[in-house]
Amino acid sequence: MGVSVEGGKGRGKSMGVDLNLVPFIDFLSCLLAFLMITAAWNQIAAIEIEQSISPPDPNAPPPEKEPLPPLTVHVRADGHWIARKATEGVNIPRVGESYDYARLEEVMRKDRETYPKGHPQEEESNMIVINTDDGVSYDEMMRVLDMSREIGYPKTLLAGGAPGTTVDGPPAAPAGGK
Amino acid sequence: MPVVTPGRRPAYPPIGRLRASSLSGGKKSGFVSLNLTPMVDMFTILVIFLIQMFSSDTVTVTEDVQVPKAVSGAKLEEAGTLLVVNKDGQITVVNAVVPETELGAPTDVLMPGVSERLKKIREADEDLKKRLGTPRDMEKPYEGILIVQADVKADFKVVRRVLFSANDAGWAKIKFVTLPDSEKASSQLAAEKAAEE
Repeated sequence: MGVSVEGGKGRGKSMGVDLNLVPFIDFLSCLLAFLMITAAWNQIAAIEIEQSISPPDPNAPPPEKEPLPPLTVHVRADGHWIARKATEGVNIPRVGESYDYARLEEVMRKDRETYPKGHPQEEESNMIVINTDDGVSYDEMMRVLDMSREIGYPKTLLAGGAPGTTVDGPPAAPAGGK
Repeated sequence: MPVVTPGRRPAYPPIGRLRASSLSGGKKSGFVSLNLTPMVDMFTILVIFLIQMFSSDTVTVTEDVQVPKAVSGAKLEEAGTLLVVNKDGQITVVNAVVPETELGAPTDVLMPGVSERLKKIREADEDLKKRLGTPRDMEKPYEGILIVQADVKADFKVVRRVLFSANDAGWAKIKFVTLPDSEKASSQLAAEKAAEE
């Protein structure tokens, strides 16, 4: 690559100035190789939950009608338990080594159909409580959380405790997110 | 269409004729100049694209932490305070490991070391905003985001204790880092297409 500069004299003498592009190309090649090696090709995503900072007001007037209990999923070592009311609980035992996510999804979708978006008690119908026993891995909880968001429960409350200390059904007091 | 006389033709014009052509100055010269401009252009565009990719990532996944895959995760665009939980339950708040002695007993709900650190970060941020003339609205919850990057094998109990400690320190917005589950997403797309047909 060359740049032709016209000389100032009237003889039209041209001065060919050659730009040495080799160091520039070397630099770009090194930079390119470095960026391609260190680039994070995976697009990082996130699932957001919002925690309730202030405790519930004890002086708040009681609701006029009985509130709809939120959908509760209890993640236990031996399987899942899911229901809105403790008396209507569905036990979903493990299939071999893994949890039966297909069955859990089926029950969750059925609940969403019964209490769709726009339900008169929307706040409660949109909420899911994920109650996780100690010893259950973060991945198992995240799979339930991801499934619930995908099906359409925008509000999540995370709760849990030692196995046996948490009863099946909605917990008495929120212990986690909103 | 031009009429050409049939006959044998060389695959390439003779090198001598090329050298002697007006393009190379009309005289025989051994110097062959390569036009490097398109290559430099391509390199520059690639470098700009890669740098842009870097700058758009607010957080990078820590090497020894395997984050879960999810379909419903939204792209992480906002910056926040990074908290890492590895598979052994070790906690790192903004690149500083919290000593085990500051995590409290495993039966405790609160982790004093985590809560203390997060409280300091929140207070420093609030102080900075105050100095900049945009103080926080104290009636609303703190707007800082805690980005939790936990390993899939970590016990959720540890993560739950972290959440409780964050709540204690006044952090309301929590984001769990995930990677897109492209396998599940594509299988769902295929199932939807099959259902439509």
